[in-house]
Amino acid sequence: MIQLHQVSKIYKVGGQDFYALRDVNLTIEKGEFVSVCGTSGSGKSTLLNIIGCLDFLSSGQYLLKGENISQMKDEKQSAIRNRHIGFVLQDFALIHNQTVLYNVMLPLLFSKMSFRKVKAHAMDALACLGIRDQARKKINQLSGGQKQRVAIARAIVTQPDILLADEPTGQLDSHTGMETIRILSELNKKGITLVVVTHDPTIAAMAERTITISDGRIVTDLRNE
Amino acid sequence: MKTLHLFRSFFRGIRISSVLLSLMMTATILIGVLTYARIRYVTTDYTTVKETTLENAYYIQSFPDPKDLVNGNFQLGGVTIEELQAIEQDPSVQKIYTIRTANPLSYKDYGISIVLYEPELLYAFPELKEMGIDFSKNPNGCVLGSQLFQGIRTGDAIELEFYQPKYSTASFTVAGHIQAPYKHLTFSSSSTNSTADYLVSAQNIIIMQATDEVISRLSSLAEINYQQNYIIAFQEGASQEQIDTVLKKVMDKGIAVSLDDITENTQAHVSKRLKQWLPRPLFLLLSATVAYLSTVLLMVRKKEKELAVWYLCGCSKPRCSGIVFVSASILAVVPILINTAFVFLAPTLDWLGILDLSGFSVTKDALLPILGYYLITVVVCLIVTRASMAKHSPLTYLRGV
Ligand SMILES: Nc1ncnc2c1ncn2[C@@H]1O[C@H](COP(=O)(O)OP(=O)(O)OP(=O)(O)O)[C@@H](O)[C@H]1O
Ligand SMILES: [Mg+2]
Repeated sequence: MIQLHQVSKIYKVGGQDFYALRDVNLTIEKGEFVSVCGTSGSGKSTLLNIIGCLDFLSSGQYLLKGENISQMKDEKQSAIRNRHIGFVLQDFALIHNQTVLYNVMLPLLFSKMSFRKVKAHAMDALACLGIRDQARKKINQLSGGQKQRVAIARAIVTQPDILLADEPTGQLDSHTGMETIRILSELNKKGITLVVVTHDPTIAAMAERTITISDGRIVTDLRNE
Repeated sequence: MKTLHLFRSFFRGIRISSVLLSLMMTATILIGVLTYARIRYVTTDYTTVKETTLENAYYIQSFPDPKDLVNGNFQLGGVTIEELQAIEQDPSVQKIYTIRTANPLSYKDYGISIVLYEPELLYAFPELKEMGIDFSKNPNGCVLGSQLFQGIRTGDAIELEFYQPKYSTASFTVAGHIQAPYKHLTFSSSSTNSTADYLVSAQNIIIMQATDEVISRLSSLAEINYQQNYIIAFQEGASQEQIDTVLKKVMDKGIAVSLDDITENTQAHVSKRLKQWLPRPLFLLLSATVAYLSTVLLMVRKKEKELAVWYLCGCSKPRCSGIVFVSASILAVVPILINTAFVFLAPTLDWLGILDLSGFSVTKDALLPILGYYLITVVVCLIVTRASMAKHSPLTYLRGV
């Protein structure tokens, strides 16, 4: 499903090259649940952004479902991001002055789906997360846990193959955090490939596989039993 | 439909500023249009005289005695037409251009005058054709210059009412229309400081050619008079001495000014006007443009976090900036539309007395500068949004705000 080969991400900082990722080799199979750990600034988000076609890599090769992403233009990458990838971010990345429904509809507005079906699909996704009755509320009227559910509904509304979560529990209390992880792992059990960046060892242990990053390199890649 | 939804959501939270911005643009462009119309009003006179094909011509202006006016004897400055025809026979004279009027008459109870041009006058002043005074397809027809005649098409016939010597009606075929404010040559006013506006006038009028047929028809319907002023055009090779001899014969009741002098005077007059009228509107236009751009920039900034979310959801950067760009253009479209409507409706508004546009030529030519200005703002807006979005990549916003 996901194949990274010698992938590096270089930022120019004060005229000097800074490696946010260095020669990363990584393969993730369809349906896997992978957690990514590492200290702050180690490159976890960078890795996730590259997997999610949000960011361009500086060198190396990235194959997603056999397609060479590294050579694609923004338009094509965006289409793939829209079609195959869902994101759940720490700060939810929702549009605050809009309704829940609008936020969940958003990815579909950029897809090829006809406008007539968009709303029904969004409502289905909300129902899936048990927040169908919140559809008309504005985002800024919701609790943190509800916001994260909206974000997850938005991430799965296009029925993507891959779900990428960057510290999804970071802004939630431990109970709501565990709830969120439970929802994500349920989705994983239904077949979606799940990559979760986390600081929390309990969450990391729930994954089938844990990758640890340090200074832009993968240092360990362990299968949990 | 989906894109429409996106546009609508783009304006969310910036609606009031958008509306205010549109209003400001509308007002600014309106000022621009009116300034253009005002300048156009004086330059029309100028070009009409400047573009004359006559090489060596004098505008003879008479200042009739009050006595003459009482006697109704002020045609051609007191010179009879027979005397003028004799002068025209002088070998140094090429032609004498007179203008006649036919009065009184009315159309649908509105009094109006007919101005009669000798066919040669149209060759001598080619700008007349530009104004719409063109009889090439219908030498005995009439060219209409009034909001009264709105809706009447070229080729239609109109019925005019005449009163001299007795009430009667007659119909004429329409050869064309003059644009508001119905500028045409009249030779009706005189001044010692001659500028082109003394030869041209802007008022409701019907223009016909003084062909034999038209003259014979009109002479039984109305009273035909010569305007007090006229032009004597000399042969190219005429010596100053010959010219002076001819002019002397007509000058005891008036003065002669060469068309070249009139052009020169007018040019000075026009450039003075431009210096008076241009700086303020230009300054306004410039400040409004800057305000427009900075507001667009602020709106884009305000929206950038939202656009980052769009990007996250699979909207490519070019598409994001495309939507921003189109939205910004929509803001500019409204003022353009309102102003275009104004240009089209101006003659009617003036006619109905809702606006007083005397001294302004609000013509469709004003649309060209409007569009030009629009294009420039749109292009600059494109550059600015592109630059802003390139500088602040969506990722910086997604990295936790
Ligand atoms: N646009 C950028 N320009 C320069 N350096 C950057 C840029 N984006 C990220 N970095 C650097 O790349 C490194 C990796 O960043 P990244 O966000 O992937 O870390 P992380 O592992 O997700 O950290 P955290 O746990 O705090 O979220 C950091 O040192 C960061 O400073
Ligand atoms: Mg991070």
